[in-house]
Amino acid sequence: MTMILTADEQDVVTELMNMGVGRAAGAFSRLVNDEVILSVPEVAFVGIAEAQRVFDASIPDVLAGVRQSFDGFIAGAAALLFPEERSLELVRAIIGEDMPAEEISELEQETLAEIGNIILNNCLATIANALHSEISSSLPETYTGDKQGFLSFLCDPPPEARMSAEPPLDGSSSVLLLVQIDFSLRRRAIQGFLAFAIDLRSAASFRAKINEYLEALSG
Amino acid sequence: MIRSASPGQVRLLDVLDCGVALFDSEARILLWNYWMERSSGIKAADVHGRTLEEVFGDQVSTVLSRTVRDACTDGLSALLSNQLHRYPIPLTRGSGVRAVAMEQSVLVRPLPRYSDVPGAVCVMQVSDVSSAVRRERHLRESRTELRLRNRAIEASSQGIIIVDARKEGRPIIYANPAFTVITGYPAEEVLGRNCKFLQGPDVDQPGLDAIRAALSEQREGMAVLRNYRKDGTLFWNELLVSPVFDTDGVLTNFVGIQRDISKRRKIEEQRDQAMADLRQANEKLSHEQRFTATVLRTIGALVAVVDRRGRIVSFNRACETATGLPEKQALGTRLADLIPDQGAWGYFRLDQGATTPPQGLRTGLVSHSGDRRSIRWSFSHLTNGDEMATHLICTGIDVTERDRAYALLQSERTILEMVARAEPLDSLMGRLCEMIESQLPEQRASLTLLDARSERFVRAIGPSLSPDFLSVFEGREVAPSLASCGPVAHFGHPHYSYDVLRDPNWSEFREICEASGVRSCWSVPILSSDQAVLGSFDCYGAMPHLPDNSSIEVLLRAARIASIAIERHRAAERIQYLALYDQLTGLANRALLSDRLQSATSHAMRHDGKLALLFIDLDGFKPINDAYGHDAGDVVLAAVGNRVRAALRTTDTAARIGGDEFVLLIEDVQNAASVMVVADKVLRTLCQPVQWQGETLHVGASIGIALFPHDATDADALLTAADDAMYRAKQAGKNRWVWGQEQRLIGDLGAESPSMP
Repeated sequence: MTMILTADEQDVVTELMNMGVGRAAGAFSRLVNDEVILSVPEVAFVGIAEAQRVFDASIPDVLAGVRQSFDGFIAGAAALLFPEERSLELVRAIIGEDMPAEEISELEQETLAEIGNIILNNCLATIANALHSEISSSLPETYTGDKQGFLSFLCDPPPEARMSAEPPLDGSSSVLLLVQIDFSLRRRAIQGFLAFAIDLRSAASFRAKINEYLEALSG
Repeated sequence: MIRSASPGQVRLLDVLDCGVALFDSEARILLWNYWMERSSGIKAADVHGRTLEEVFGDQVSTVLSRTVRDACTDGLSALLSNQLHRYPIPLTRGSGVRAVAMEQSVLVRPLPRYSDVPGAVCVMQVSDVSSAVRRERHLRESRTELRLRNRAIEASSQGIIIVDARKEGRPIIYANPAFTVITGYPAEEVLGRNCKFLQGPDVDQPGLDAIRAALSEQREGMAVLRNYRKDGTLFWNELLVSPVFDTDGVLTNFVGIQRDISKRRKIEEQRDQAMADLRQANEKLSHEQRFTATVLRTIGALVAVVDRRGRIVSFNRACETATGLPEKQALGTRLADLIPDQGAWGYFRLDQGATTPPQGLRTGLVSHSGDRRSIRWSFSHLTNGDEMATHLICTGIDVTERDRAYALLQSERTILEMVARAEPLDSLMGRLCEMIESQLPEQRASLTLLDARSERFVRAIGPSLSPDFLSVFEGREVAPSLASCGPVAHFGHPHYSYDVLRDPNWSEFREICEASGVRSCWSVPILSSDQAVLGSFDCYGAMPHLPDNSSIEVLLRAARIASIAIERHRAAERIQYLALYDQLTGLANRALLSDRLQSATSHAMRHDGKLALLFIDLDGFKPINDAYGHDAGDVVLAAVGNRVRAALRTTDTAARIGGDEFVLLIEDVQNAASVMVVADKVLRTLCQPVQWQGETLHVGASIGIALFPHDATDADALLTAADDAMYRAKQAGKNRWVWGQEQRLIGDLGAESPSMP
């Protein structure tokens, strides 16, 4: 099935994302001690196949990313993506090591995970607060590889869910809320973007929350 | 307490190798496992129900506190990585003094709804990542090192290639930029190829064998190869090939290091050529120097080089020999100091006071031992670049020997002229001695002459020696032990006495030698043409000394001249004797008698003296001659000669003037009686028989006596008067004597009548 948002709903989602990403960018900016420039989020609900087409057109072939699952009024996974060769440079920009980017180490992977964790948590927390809802997130997981593999990685259930009795998400039961936000650092040529995949089964409650939010704004 | 609520679970958490803490919704600690107790040093009982801030105060990071609070309230999971949050909680690893701060990785997350621990909403899990940090730090360091090495290889000016030794064809798997610079081949063109292509047409160069041999012994090999660049030009490649082995000792790679030494080689070749040229020039120069030095050393001429002030800077072997001064001592001294002629000093310098030497300058040269030599000099200048004379080359020819030889020849000629003029032997001998002494300045010479039979020394002649000394050998018989002249006369060989005071031959003459200042004696024989010894030529020195060859030569030449002079003298005497004496009887002949008679009459005339002349004619001589032959007659005549000579004084003269006619000249006659005594004596002695081959031969004599001035006043008349008287004696019956003017003389002289014997 396809989830179609009304224009108003779409605006709310965009605004919420803007808020979340704005706070995340603030945290990120403190972390890297540099100004973070954000683009206007592009929000679209797409299927797996459509998502793959969007990825093919807009993100680098080889990428490094951090994924976090979330659950609550809305369930799914969020990911922060960088072109693979730039991701570790980002780490080094933060921790100040002079090493070539291809030398990926265990500790650097963990650091990349924390950076993603900070941004994604801020983003999720802001949205949840704005919608007066509760949301819990899992620990971040890193991914390194090509963009085809990334889509399935993004849609994989979180480790906690894998242990539970609930059936996993599959392609047909998932719809992706693709929120594409380009961000870059002023002093360093680093770009990245965010992607959210939302479990269809929670889409209804999400829509309800958006509408509550709309009513509160208009009311 | 949680522990009591679920002891089994608590024990499980206690054995985990990570820290686990559970928090309630107010972020208060509900559980604190054993790992946390150990790492924090705080017991679970002491933390229970308290927040992290309450337990650790400032030492817990605010990020961790906030993260725990966010997890408890919002349900957000978070990761605190080690690189961003090195020490979120003050934990240590190890114990005691070895305890160090623990590097951590902290996970914080909300607990799911189905949590087993009542009231727990958040779990914190702490991992010790110290070992990972250490490992990665080490890894990073070694990678840094590796990267530096890689950069060094990339930046090296030496061409470096790496070959995979395990693959077929041993392809190149790496080539650095310098390789491209040297060979002109970009790396991508050579990768996968065998590096043989560099050798171009010159495959299997000898240098490769050296490398192969080295590699077979698993060590690196080096060689210089002719290689070709991509553009075909040749370069000299100094190639070092080093084998690389893996940990199992299996050959995996070769590393080839190339250096283009074409330039260096060219420079080396140029340098070698320059060195060779230099060496050749040096050799030529030193050869010339050696040649010059050899010439200077071996030539007989004296070559001395002096500076402007006349100081010697070079002094050749001939100079050393002539002066007795080694070059070392001579250097720096003035050459003029060796020259006794003060007037010549100015010639041996170039500075002030220098004068231009005349052609063929001759000066003396005093040797170290005081000998004086005669040198003829010539000079030339050494000039520097400015044509300024810096040194004077003095070349001298030692003309001492030549001068001496010339003087010797002169003396010899003079003496031989004297010999030819038959000058007296003594003055000749004197001149010979002077000649020796001028040739051998330290010597005094003498000749010690032998009698005619070479048995006895008769006299010695030596103008420089005292008569006392000369007389010691007079009359001495020849003996081999007699001084030096004795063995010379005895053996006919030279005899040199080094020191007469120590020579046993001279022991009896020591005193006179000391008194005369004689210390050495060199004697050579004076030999006649038939090798008979005529005497000894002796040379006396004041110091113990032996003659050198030239001295001996001079002595022998003098002895030869002496021999000629003596023989010449003896021959002259013999001629004179033959002219004036009768061979058979040894009496004077008519010529000598006439001469003697003449001088005797002149003498007597001047001094009012008296002479007597006895004319003897033998009686009975002819019959003996006829009966027994001339030999018998000659024997009789010789006997008569001896007898009349014996009857006379040495001042008187007996002569044979014809076959059996004799005349006796008696000088300084006092009276007639003394004449008669002689006449009687002659008659008596002639009457004595003469024995000849067993026969007894008898002769008698008729004697006529003439007196001067009674019978005649000149020689001829006196002889005629005596002849006349002899005839009268014959007529009177022979064997008697008769006065020339019988009556008057008898009366005057008071003589008796002629008597019969």
